[in-house]
Amino acid sequence: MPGSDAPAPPARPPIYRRHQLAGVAVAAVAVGLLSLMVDSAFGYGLLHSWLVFSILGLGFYLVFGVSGQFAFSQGAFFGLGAYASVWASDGRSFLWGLAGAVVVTALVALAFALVVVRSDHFYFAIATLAFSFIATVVFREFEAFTAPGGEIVGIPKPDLFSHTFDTGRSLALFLGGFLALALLLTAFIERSPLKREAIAFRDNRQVAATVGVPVLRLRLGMFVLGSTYAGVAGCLFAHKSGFISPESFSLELGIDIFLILLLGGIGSMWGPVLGAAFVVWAPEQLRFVGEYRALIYGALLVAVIVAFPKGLIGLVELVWAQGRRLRRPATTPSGPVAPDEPLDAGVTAGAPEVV
Amino acid sequence: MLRAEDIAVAFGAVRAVDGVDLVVGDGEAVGMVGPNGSGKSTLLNALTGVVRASGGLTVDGRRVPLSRPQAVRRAGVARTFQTPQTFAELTCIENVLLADADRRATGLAGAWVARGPMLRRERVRWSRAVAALDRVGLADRAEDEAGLLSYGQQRLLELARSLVGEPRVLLADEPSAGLNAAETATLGRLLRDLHAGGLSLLVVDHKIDFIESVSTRVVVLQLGRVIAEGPAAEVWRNAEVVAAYLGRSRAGA
Repeated sequence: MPGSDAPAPPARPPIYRRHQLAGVAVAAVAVGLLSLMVDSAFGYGLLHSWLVFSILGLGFYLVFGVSGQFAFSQGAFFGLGAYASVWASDGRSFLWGLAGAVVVTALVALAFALVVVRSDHFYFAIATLAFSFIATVVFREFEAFTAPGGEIVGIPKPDLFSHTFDTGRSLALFLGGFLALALLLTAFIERSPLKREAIAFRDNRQVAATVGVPVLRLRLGMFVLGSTYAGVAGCLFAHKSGFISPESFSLELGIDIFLILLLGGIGSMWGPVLGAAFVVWAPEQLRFVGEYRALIYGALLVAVIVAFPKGLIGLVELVWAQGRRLRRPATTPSGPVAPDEPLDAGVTAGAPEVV
Repeated sequence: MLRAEDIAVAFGAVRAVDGVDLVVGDGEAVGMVGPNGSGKSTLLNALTGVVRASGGLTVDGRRVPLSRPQAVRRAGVARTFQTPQTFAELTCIENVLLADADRRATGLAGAWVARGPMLRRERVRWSRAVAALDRVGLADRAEDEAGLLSYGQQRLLELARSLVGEPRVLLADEPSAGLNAAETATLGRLLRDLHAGGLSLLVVDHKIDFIESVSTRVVVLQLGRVIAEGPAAEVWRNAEVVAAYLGRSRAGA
């Protein structure tokens, strides 16, 4: 029997050994330190935006990065969460707003996903695009839910147990707590069977179904989950900004969401965190070039995408791997090939490509 | 036992599978041959719910709905594809884990709330997956990405993935395609071992000697219909089979 004298397989399932949990702790400490170091209202503004957009990007990572659903609706759910939270927290505590944002975005996302359940790929993308156009109209016109013209001012800063987070630092720590929670929940998904099933669904849903993966449940579940992350981010956005209008959730935001994931790296949960930092921070650093800002920013985007096809996280991984190589010069190839194993010997050259 | 009755698949006006009756008995190994385009792969796609089909399917006496891949899989029917369909970004063991029959604690509740039970179940699933990989000789590649495997190894990985669900029947679509002689021999040995262990087989292939080595009965498909079945030696002498492969002589034999 082949394989009887194979090297002993590792003793623990692979999902035990990923290091995201340590990463979440490091990220939480980093956010804490950053919020101590920043010393201007402007700096806090950038920090707050980065934290909120990271959560938004994490949700899109689940929808598009992990489960491959090409959705333009992430910005609309961001807006829906913002309006729903203002509506639900009117005259009440922030927690009501948060609950409202979660419930409303989850229900609307589920209803939408069920309506377009037969649309795949580009058709799904178009449907989500239509959804976000409709959402913008609703934000502007549905005044019972929003406000005249969809513009709401004077949204109170978030509060928790009668403490209001109204300083730049306390708000940064508050938002950082939410990002840490979002990262933790995402890391739990990464370290669970859900991740591999979502990837199988993403890469070939037909084969995944044949193997026994519940593709419909994954499709709906991951979409609702990622959209709900957007809803929570929208709720935080509304309360940290104090002002929202339909223009906050225009198609420009949709493009930024794609940039956050693609620039940061679509293959890792840390990608959107880096991508959000870039999208928030880089344009501000380019203010000195004045009217050429958009031009230079565009060129910078192209340069980053060409230089780091795996996103900014690819650069981090490269540095990490280099550091490791310096510490341990001896590299071990993955599993020696037994000489008596004929199937290892001949890689068939002209293998057929189609099923 | 797998019993398929009057299976039909139409692509527009083309009836790719045209009323096929097929039985794979308990512990039986059936070989299926037929010229290109005779409907072999489409028949397997119909049986495993990948394409819409009409007809009836029962597994061990229980009716299984067609066009529902998961239902077919749960009924104990596993398959491999003509081109190995592995998930390149997942590791070999993750590929196998996908197919485990125990689906408890694989969802969001297991990931977020019941992590203890999830990890306990995962450990059991994991040891089963290692055993399946060991069975095909890939245990030492467990944590390599499937995309790194050679073509032949991907076939073996696919086989391991279909074994881990403890299927009653394995449908193998051209398992020897793209393999060299040594690889084909190893695969044949593996299929015979599985058959000896009680697994029912339906093997579609073009290599006649390979079919003979892994099956006890041969079914010939032509233009979506069964034109002959029986022991291999008899089937090859069947005039209709000869005509299907070589064409009829103009004089009419």
